[in-house]
Amino acid sequence: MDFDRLFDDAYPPLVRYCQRLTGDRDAAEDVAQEAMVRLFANEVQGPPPAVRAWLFKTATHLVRDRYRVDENRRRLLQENPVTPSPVEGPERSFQRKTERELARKALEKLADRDREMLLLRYEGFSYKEIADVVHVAASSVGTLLARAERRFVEALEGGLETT
Amino acid sequence: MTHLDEGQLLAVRDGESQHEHLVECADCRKGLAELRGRHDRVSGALAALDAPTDLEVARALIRTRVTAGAAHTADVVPLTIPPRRAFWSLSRAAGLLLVTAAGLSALPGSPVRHWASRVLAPEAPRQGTERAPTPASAPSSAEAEATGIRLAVPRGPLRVIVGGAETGAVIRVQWVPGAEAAIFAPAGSRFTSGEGRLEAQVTSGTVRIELPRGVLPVSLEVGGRIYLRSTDAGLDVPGPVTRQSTSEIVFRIP
Repeated sequence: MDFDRLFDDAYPPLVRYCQRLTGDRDAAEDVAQEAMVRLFANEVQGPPPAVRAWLFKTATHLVRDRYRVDENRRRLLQENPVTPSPVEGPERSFQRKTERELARKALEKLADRDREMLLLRYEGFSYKEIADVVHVAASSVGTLLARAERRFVEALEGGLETT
Repeated sequence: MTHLDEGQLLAVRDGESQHEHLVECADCRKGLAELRGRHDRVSGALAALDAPTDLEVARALIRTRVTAGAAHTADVVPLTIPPRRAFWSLSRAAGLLLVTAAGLSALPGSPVRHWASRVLAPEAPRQGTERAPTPASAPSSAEAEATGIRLAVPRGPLRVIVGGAETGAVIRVQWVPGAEAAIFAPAGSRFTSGEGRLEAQVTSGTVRIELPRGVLPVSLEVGGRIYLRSTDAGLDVPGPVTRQSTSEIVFRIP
């Protein structure tokens, strides 16, 4: 297994997924790195989509194990800094901060499983792969995802109304 | 006419299924269009959560750990493992033995600690050295480092000096409880110590440094430059930081 190729293909989306899932950059990097190390340590083999699915599944389990406690999650989210880009003006920076906070709060309103399903879907996983990670029947993924999406958008719009 | 429900429409939108019904039903086509708009809305909101990350630091950290064969165990079941279960079971057993030995060696007065300090010491304490470092061949975290030393530091000042690190090398500084400082670095690195001083000449790879939280003042010098200084006045980090949190600071040598 070529390390650099696998890293280039898998790590950026993996750490992005973990960031979205945990709301904490340090935690996300720790989890993503741990999943990558385990991939090599366990000599996981298979076609690239299967390897990628293994990585995301492992990362999801790690997040569940390490960051399951709601109190801890809230603390992590509060500590999650929003660093404005140096080339951004204050207005754009504020807008990005607001968008990020809205999205974070909306995600937090979802049940853990719904959040995982939504984020996995938006990383391009198939319903079958999602079903495997969250342990539901593949035939029910569409319905569950539709509900998760609807609730996420409703929470976003609810947040906008109160902003 | 029976319309498609939201889940069925979503499956169509996501390319998971097809329904002839859509050809003849304007209502369902409208619902599908709405779901496509919702996809864009969700996608945009999620993208707002993304933050930049230093890929090269991550690459170096993972590569070092993979190279050293270090990985945490337990709580994840791999989907596919080649038929080498017996080997891995043995290696995990060996790892468990090492961790147990390391744990025993951490106990004051432990015979394992005594044995380890005699057998594994990287070099004899130099003349004038008041405290001999405790070898740490199995560090507490599952980092990739192959070797390192610990030094009891009941009070400051503490100087940690790193030499020989190459461009791109990663130095992770972790704040730890207690009164011991430590350096871990890849095999081939050389370590020395004196009172209030830990020094390492490292080979290429990641260096991990543990600094006791309560000990002040503390300084870290890398290649002759001050990377970190912690005093009563606070923490000053002039080194090339790539990541910083309350428990860890990661530098990457430019």
